[in-house]
Amino acid sequence: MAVEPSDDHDRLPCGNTVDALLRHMTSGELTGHERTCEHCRAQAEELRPLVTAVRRDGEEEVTAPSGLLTDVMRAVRSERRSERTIVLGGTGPGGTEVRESAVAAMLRASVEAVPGVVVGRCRVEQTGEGLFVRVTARVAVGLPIPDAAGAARRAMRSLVERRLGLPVARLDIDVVDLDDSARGR
Amino acid sequence: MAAEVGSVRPVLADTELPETVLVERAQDGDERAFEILVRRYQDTVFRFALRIVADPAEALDVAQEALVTVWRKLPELDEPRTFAAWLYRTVGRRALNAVRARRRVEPIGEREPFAREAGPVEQALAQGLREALLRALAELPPPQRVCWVLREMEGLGYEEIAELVGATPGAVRGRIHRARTHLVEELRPWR
Repeated sequence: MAVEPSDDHDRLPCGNTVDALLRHMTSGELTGHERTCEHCRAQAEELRPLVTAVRRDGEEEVTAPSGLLTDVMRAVRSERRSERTIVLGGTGPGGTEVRESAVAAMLRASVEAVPGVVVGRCRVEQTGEGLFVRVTARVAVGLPIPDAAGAARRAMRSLVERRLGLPVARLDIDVVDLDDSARGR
Repeated sequence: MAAEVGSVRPVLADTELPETVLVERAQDGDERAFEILVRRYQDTVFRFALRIVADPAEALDVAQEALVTVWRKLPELDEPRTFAAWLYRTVGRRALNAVRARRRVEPIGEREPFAREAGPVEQALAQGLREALLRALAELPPPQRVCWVLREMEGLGYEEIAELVGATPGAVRGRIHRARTHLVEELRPWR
């Protein structure tokens, strides 16, 4: 057992520390030494009410006041991050613009119909050549990634071309993880 | 589209999405994803704040401010996997600031959370072991109480606590030791 100088005030005559003993009492996993050593047993006797009190406090359900969620979300919505818009084509006068976050939400939703693929981040940017799309995705374990990515790509391309009426300049899918929970969906 | 790769499946509810996906979406400004995260963590956040500041109204303020800060700073989080630990640190810092600000305003001893409204009924309730612990905790100097709560009730390591409270791990150990000595003494009647 490595001895740190700062542990000294915490050390029992047998070499065990009060901190370690307390940990083991809390988890209910006393070592063989702690069960038989007289110093440890005497110290455990002193600590017992504290361990019981902490356990009881842990068993006490603490629920956040109902207003917390409402207040947080109100604040979040009131300071909507400034964002750019995607300009759609069409005949004037007047124009149609869609917020980037709305386009991102549509792109994510379009991939929901693809089994075993979930989109996380989604960035879109409009350029003279068309829309740049970059997403992160998780693919279900066992699913061939090229097939899954291909299906997700077709879903997103179709959305951009048919629903927004814009060309796709580039569409990058970054598979960041395999997802166990996405299997068989 | 789905027909190209397999049969159509029922669309998964957002609340069933993996946490990392929700975090990434919230980083992009998806308020709905963030709301699911807040629902998931609000009880833990509030309990953590309450244990440090030991006052329900103040814990609510701390929890709210911390969660809004988390929303603002989410885009800076590099690794979505570490969201929970990062959230925890944000709440911890906020709660500690609240405790420090209070100490600047109020002389020590003027305010004893949990104990301050003690009338005959509360006195009777305090016969319970858990109540005795909360009362004894409230008597501790805040730096000791905070370190002890983080260690023994929230299960943080010495290094983590040291980083949170801005002290050395050695100083943290000392505070926890002194806090424990006081608490053990106060709970002696229950032995």
